[in-house]
Amino acid sequence: MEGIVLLIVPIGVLAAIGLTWLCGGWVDARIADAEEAGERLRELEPGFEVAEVCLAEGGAGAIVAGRYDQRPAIAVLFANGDELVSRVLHAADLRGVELGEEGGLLRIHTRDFTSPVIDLRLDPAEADGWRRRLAGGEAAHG
Amino acid sequence: MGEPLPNMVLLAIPGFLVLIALEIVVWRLARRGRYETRDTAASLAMGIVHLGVGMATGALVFGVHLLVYQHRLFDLERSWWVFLLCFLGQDFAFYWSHRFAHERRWMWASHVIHHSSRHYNLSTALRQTWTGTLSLAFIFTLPLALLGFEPLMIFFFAGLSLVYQFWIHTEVIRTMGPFEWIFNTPSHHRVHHAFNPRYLDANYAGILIVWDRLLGTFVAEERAEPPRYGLVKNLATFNPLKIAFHEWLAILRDVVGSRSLREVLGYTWGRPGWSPDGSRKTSAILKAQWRQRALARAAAAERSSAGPSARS
Repeated sequence: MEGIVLLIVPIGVLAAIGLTWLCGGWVDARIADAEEAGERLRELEPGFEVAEVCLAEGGAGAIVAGRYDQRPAIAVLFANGDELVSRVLHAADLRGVELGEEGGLLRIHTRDFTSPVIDLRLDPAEADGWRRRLAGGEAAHG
Repeated sequence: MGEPLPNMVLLAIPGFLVLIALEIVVWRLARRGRYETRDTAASLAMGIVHLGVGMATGALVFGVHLLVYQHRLFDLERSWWVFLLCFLGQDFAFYWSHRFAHERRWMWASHVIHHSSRHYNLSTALRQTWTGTLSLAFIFTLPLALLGFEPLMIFFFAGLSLVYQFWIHTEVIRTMGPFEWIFNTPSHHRVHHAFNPRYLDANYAGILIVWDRLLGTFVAEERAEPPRYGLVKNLATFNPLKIAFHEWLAILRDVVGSRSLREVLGYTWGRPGWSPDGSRKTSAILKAQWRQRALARAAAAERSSAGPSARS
């Protein structure tokens, strides 16, 4: 009986994964506008007071400035599958910030094992502005 | 020791897969519940490896129970009341094991895997740890062996508990009437998987929700606040290896950077989110901050409804 079950498992697992794909389960999260970005961030980081939102190309993410724990802070939102993930960028967690692709790509390097690189495609001027703010130490301290 | 008892989990696996397929169809046709292909693949991959690791380490865990059983206080023969007591004892032990898995980082590093999905469906039930033995979760059933319950019986009920807990990982069933009073249900367990501050650290039950009701950890699902599933700090990956080991690596990084034994102990056996300078947030801090914000909002609403005359 055990042998039969162990034989069935991989087939059943592959069938279940295939079925979710056929049913339209492969979707990337998108942010419609700045208001939605603020709302999502407040859900994911309760207590974050949103002041300024910059949406990434196609709503694939956002970079947000505001206050968190009564201090100035910058946070990012980005898609992981059909859900958004947030990170409040603490200075101690940042490994570096750089621009790529002729200035339109803001690339944030973090010490986070599951998101070591966060890419946001922005307007080149905005990308450079956020790079300078992060490099200048505007990320949350503490 | 009596005759071997059936391996409930292994026998139930074909049923699990059929029910997952049915839930996917319900999601597609009736828009109840939610599936994401990469999330489901990660959960099922975690489940397969969990099964293999369980087979490899099961003998060790069983052996420890046998060792304790050799020094048992009572000889409990198989009878209906011994089965009943063992069921209650195992479920109570599960409650405590599960509660510690949320309250002590060493155990959380293993259990966090099960909470790492942003979805709540039957495949999430199979997103299981690979490091359960390392986390020492099994020690909670050792007192049952010491009392004289056969390890085979304890393992039988542990398997039954896992099988029971499969079907409650669904959004398809909303509430279940009086059944909710005594048993763990989809509604109660949705609360347990939510990261809304209101719902943190609640509903640890396996089969009987009465343990949470008796021990003050029960929180009911509120229609006005739908659960948001996942972690306080959500993962940005579907890679099963990263999911399985991210918190262990975080512990290692913290321990390497520790400056005293107190810090080492705090980072390993303190509450998840503990830090020596309080710069990180435990669930207790998150809950307290949520309460403060709710009070501030209520006070502001009261002031605005009182109008200018009240202020004069």
